[in-house]
Amino acid sequence: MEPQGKPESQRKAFENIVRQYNEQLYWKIRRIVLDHEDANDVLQNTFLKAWKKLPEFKGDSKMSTWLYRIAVNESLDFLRKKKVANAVSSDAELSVANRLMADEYFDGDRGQALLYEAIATLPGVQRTVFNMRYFDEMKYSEISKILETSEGALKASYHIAVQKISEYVKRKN
Amino acid sequence: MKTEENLKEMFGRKNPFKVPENYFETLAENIISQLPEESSAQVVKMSVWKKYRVHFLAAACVLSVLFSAGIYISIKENTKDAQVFDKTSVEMAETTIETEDAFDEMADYVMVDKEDMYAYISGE
Repeated sequence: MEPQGKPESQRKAFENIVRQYNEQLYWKIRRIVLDHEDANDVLQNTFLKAWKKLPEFKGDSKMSTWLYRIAVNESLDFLRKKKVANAVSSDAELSVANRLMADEYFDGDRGQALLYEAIATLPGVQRTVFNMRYFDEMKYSEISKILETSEGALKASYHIAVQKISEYVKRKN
Repeated sequence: MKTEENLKEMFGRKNPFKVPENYFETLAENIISQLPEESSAQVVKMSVWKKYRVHFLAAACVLSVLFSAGIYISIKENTKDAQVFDKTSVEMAETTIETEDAFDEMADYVMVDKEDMYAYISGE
């Protein structure tokens, strides 16, 4: 769906886009930022940015790809700002699992909390590649369009991410 | 990838995250209500020059080509006239020489001096 024409019809079209993609984008953001309130804020910022940048959307990619790209960038920006604010240390990595276990909106077991703690140790883009491939089972060609990175680089990044996570989990266990 | 398979065996891919009750039922309308009225695209009034700049430049190019062509044709015409003039002068000179030769031949034939012949023709 590509919004065109008068501002009123453009707004109506964008509202439909929000209704169509809000839940999908929420989960992608949530897996990166982990906390529900944070994911809600990032999702709002994502659609706000998309609305402002709508005139730039020329239809050379799918709407979902374009939105997903904005969502990933907003999520990683959020993490960077949070990292600066919290001055994350190695102790903070352990607290990710503890924070998740204490979170009323986390329904997983200790092992899953540890998995997300391990993922949180990865650099932002590598974390995103891992999530897209491991949890969403996306093809490298799709990921390539969203992150605008070559498939070869993505495969290498995913392979390294899997190795790091395995080693982290083994160490903690 | 064996390590990936190990991860899947250990942790699976189940989504462990939850949301508040009815969160998604109201999410879209909450987002929409916070969008500004219009997208940030602004219509900027352009000056006549900016708006029609391409047209002005195209017209200037056409005019300069026509002007240059006009000058070129004009130069070429003048050159042609000069060549024609030169050709005529040569022809005239050649004709004069031929006329004098003819006089000389005639003079020889009638055994009359050239001067006498000129004098006869001129009526003296």
